[in-house]
Amino acid sequence: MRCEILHKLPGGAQALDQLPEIPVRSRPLATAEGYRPVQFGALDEVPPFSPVSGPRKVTLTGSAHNKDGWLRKNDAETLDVLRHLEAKVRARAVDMAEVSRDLQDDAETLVVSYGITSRAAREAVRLGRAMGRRLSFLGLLTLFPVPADAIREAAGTAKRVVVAEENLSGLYRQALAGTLPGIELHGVNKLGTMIRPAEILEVL
Amino acid sequence: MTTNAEEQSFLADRPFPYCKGCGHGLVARRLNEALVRLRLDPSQIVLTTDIGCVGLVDPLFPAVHTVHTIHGRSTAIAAGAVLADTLLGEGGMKNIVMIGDGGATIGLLHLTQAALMNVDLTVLLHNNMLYGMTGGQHSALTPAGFATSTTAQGNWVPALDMEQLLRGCQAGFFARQLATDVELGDVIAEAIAFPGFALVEILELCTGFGVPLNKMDGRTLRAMAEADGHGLGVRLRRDDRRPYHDVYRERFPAATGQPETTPAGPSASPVFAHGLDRPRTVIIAGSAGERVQTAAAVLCQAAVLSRLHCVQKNDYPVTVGSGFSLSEVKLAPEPILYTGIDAPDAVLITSADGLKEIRGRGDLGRLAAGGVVIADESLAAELPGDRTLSLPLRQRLSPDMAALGAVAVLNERTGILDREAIRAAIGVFAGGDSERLQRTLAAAATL
Repeated sequence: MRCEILHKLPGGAQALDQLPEIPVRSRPLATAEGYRPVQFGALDEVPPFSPVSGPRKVTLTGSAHNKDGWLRKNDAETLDVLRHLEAKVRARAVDMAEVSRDLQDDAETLVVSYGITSRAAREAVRLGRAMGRRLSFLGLLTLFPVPADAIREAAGTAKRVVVAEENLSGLYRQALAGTLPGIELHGVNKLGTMIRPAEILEVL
Repeated sequence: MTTNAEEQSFLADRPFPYCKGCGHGLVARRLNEALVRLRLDPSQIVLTTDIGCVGLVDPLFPAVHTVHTIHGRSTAIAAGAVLADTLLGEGGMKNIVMIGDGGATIGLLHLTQAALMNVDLTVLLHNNMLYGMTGGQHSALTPAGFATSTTAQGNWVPALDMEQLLRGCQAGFFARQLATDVELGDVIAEAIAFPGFALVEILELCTGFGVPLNKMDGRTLRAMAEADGHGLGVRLRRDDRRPYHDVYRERFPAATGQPETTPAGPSASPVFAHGLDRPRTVIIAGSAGERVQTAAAVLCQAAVLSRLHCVQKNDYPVTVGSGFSLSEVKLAPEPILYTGIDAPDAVLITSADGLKEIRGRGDLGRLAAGGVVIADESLAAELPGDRTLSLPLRQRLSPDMAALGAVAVLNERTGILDREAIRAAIGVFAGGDSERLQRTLAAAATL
């Protein structure tokens, strides 16, 4: 059993209050008659909403639903809502991708990692560069939708991508298969203890 | 449907979506009666429904807010909404959970936790004694002898007694009625008006599965409840508990719910010099309960006060209070990327448990060039003499101060940190026990 400890400077908690505010796009309030809680228009439009405790019924649901938010199985409107949700995620895939980059021009290899292993991967890239290697690093803060555009862009001219991840079979490497045509895909995997920078270096 | 103060009904003028004869329709009508009787503003009501046929109620109450949740979690989601409304919002919303016996089984701890906290919400537990929507499988509330699609010969496991369970949670209100009982509307109204957690268990029959498999009707259902000792009516009402939000407001008077102890802002703290020109790694190993992790934390806190970067990782068996206790510490003048330790600069061992774990991990074989081992003298015979400093840590400092003593000795020998930084770290970290830790530092200097 392991746990990590955060040590803070006196007053360190205050810093949490100083995080930047997340901008919220304006959301029009529903005013017209015929308001439906899950009504939607074009993908880039923010539909009107109504607050709970406001004059209009608000419906939230985790089940398949029609535009009233009512539980439905597979009628045409419910399928329309489901297609819209999927299209919304797909349309926003690039915006939803969060990555950290440490790229080098003309890198021969791109190291991709996520979670705790990304720290070891960054250290491996640092050590590799000190040995004269041309290496780029891409840390993934979101895994799905797969940020394929960001990975391809980070790879640049590199012909190899190494995915370092702490699991037995390279689960994310398998998810990437097919998204990087013309690039060799390699993995560094381990179970039981953390992946060490030296173990990543061996594959670079 | 009319929904103003003089309303006669909150119900929509539309057919019910339930099977013919299903008790859910009766419950919806009784709930409507209760809402009318209480003269509630529909915009101040939230019906939170669980998965199952109970989740079909949304369109029946067109002026009331509805939240349809995932299976078993309706009570937890409603409790969160109630706390947000009462502690962060204006309050005044009435949240009513509609859940089946299947959802109650899946989310039983959500129910009990809301009852223990006495969150001000009302749960209408539609108990038709099986999972109706998914094919008639038995639940934890299926009575002994009751046939379901998964207990075709009759269930032989006794049903959970919701009344006894909630009594154990010190719940404020519990009632049990049949869906056909004319007084159900009054009971639901009393539950909604109750200031705290209230649950009404409503016994009914699933006409899709329960009735054909058991040849039952309302009379036999009532007889079965009585035979099981499940009495009807308001079974529990206690007014000596205040709802959670009420107590919370008293304990944390700020309207935002922020504890009063929140630091007002950064305080001036001294910055100590250090002698670190490269990353250093230390492994401290001893026995559970002997403050190994405290010693590591003091070392890290001292490093922070010296404006160094540090990582502390603790390890112990699955049970935290037995066997070994081990901490890895990494200190560095630059940000730390890789948090593991490949070659420790120092290994501090204060007990046989710690030595056993260090051996198992192979740390002694990975010791860095110039690395040191500081160990209790009782372990000397089992450690390499040329690199080990054996000291009477346990005997002179006591077992639970041995790790901190070893840290102090290491610091004196290596000069990594200013010893005043360690003293200051104890002041920050150790709270009321700091005097004893300070005495340990002084005693360690004499070893």
